Amino acid sequence: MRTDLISRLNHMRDLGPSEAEENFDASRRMTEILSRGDFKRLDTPVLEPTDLFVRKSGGEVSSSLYSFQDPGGMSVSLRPEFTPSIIRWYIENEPNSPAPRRYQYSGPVFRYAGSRRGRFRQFQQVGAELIGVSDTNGDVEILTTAVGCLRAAGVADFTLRLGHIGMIRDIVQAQGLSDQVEMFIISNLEQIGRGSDFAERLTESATAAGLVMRERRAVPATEGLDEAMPELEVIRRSISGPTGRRSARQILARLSSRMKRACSRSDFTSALDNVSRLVSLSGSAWRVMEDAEAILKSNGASLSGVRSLGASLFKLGAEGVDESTIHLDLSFVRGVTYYTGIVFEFLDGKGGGEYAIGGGGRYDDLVKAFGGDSAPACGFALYVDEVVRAIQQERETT
Amino acid sequence: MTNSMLRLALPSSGALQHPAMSFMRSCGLAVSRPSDRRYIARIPSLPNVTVMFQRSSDITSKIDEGSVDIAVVGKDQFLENRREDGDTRIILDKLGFGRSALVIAVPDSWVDVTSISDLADISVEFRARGQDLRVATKYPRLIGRHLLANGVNYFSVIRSDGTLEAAPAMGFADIIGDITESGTTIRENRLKEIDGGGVMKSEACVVSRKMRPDDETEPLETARLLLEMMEAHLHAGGYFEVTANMKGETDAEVAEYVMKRSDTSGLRGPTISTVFNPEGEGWFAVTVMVEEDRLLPAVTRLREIGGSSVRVSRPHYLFQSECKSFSRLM
Repeated sequence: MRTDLISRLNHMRDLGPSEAEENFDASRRMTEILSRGDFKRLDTPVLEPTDLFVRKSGGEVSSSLYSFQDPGGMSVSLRPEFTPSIIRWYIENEPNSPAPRRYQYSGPVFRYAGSRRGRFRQFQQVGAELIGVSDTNGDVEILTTAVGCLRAAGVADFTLRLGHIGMIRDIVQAQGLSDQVEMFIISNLEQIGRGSDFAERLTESATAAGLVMRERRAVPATEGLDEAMPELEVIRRSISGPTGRRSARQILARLSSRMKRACSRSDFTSALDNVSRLVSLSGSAWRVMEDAEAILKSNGASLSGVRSLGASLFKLGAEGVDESTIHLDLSFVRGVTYYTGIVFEFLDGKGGGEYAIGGGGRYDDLVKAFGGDSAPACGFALYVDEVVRAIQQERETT
Repeated sequence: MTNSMLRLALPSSGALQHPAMSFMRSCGLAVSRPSDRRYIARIPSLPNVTVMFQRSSDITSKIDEGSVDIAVVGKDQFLENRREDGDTRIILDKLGFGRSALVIAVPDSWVDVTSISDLADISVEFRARGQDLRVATKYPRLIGRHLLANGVNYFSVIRSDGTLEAAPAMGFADIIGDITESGTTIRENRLKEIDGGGVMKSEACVVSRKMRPDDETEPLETARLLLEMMEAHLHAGGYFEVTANMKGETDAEVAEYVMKRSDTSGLRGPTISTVFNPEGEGWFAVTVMVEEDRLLPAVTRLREIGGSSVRVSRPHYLFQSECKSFSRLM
């Protein structure tokens, strides 16, 4: 081997002429479908301020960012996904345009992660964002558009794994728990119902995080607790060591608000129990919907999530998305934390294959979180390299 | 076979220095270093090795750049400093010394912070004031990743090689990410650990660059001898050799008794040999290898089935059918 040869980085991929052609062709077919659906093409920078990607993305994405300081000292990152950039563009350029806004994108994204099969650190995405359409109509448009793209690219066999974060939120909110507790439950959704001691484990870590009150602390969560309260005065006096750049007053103010948002142990375990019943439902999609509605109803929770999902399922059938390709899974969460309603991913193969070839969901709070006026939004991204692989696999098996 | 020298790096200072030398000695690989100021030494029992004493923090980069072939280093240092897609890897884990934990610690006075999710909140609080939460650490890669993976998004790392525990009191950082053995230094500096703040557990390990078996200049054979000794010594540390005398008609009958329970069936099965005694009775010596933490149950079981004069010794080496660490080298 020549020692002066500079080789490709690990977990990166070269596409030779035929592979590049195949990827280009799959992308073209998918973007054609998007253009026909009136999704306007946007092209945003590969490099963005790091803040754009860490603000709402969640730990899995944040910890796999390619981040560095640019020569001017600014913290920048290669995009790990398009959604934050597209939302940023919308807020900066078309915030007041009549809804709905439809955007499509295509290009490489970068994630510094290990070498799972087929996952390279740079991979190609084609995707779409739909801003300004709430609930069922938007969900169905996004799902059917994604299905249309996959079919146009040549993927015949796939499974649509569908979950709904909104329903989980509905049942937690029915118990009057704080946003922080709700977030904690959602981010641990995959653990709920797993193993006999999940409730104990999660209650313990929620307690350590100050989200569940310790039994001995007799501070009612509902009553206001301000800095003038005697409990805090006692604590104030006990703060003797250095507090760094935080003042004792800031520490106490945060302690007070942390106490307020904490819930009782029994409320927390009962929320866990309800969520566990919800996420362990199985059977046909309609059966799951029926049982879920019964659980939500018996807890006095809002039925908007379950009803909207039911309507989406019905319309998907009417749009030719066969029920047998849908796998309803209420325990499903995706790696990013900004979802508020449906979440989904496409798996290769009919029986729910092993590899995701795309995914998406609804994120009604994202526009606001990035500084825009509140606007409902949903979208999806398809992984071109995986789509091409799925096509090749189908070709080989037929 | 080749005669080229194997370059082995050992820590020249810090907490791992003396334990690493004792480890080498206990493996039968005592290092002969004429004085503490000499940075090159030899292993008399393995003449084709050049021992190079290096600062712990430099060892990983020396392996990465190829100026050292194999080294003893803390797992924390290795994971922090190594070139992640490079050719270096851990080939022998858990050497039994240098045990410590990499943790995040906050000022004791932060009574509102008990877990890493509180830090996520605090980092947003700092951000709102136009500041970043400052973390002083020698481990920017591992600490940074852990914070990000746990939702702490806004922080800046202050890289410091000094006494980190004083950083919050001195005001140049808010929190620290550091190695601790018992947590005493952290507490004495009025800091506290938090739930979810444990980044990793560390211990000394053997790391190496990848070697090519088809390259004749590679000191592969020397590396194999070195690793055989280390691995067999470490493996032996987990076992006792237990021998008892037992009465019986035949060795097969004794074997059947002994093997009825897993406590006394050894690694492959008991070794049974005849004990000649003047009375002419049938006596046998039964020897089994027993895992360290199963010693007393095994002794009890041997007594139950008539064993007497139970002798226990530690094997110095226990060689397995192959040297696993050597196969990881290539």
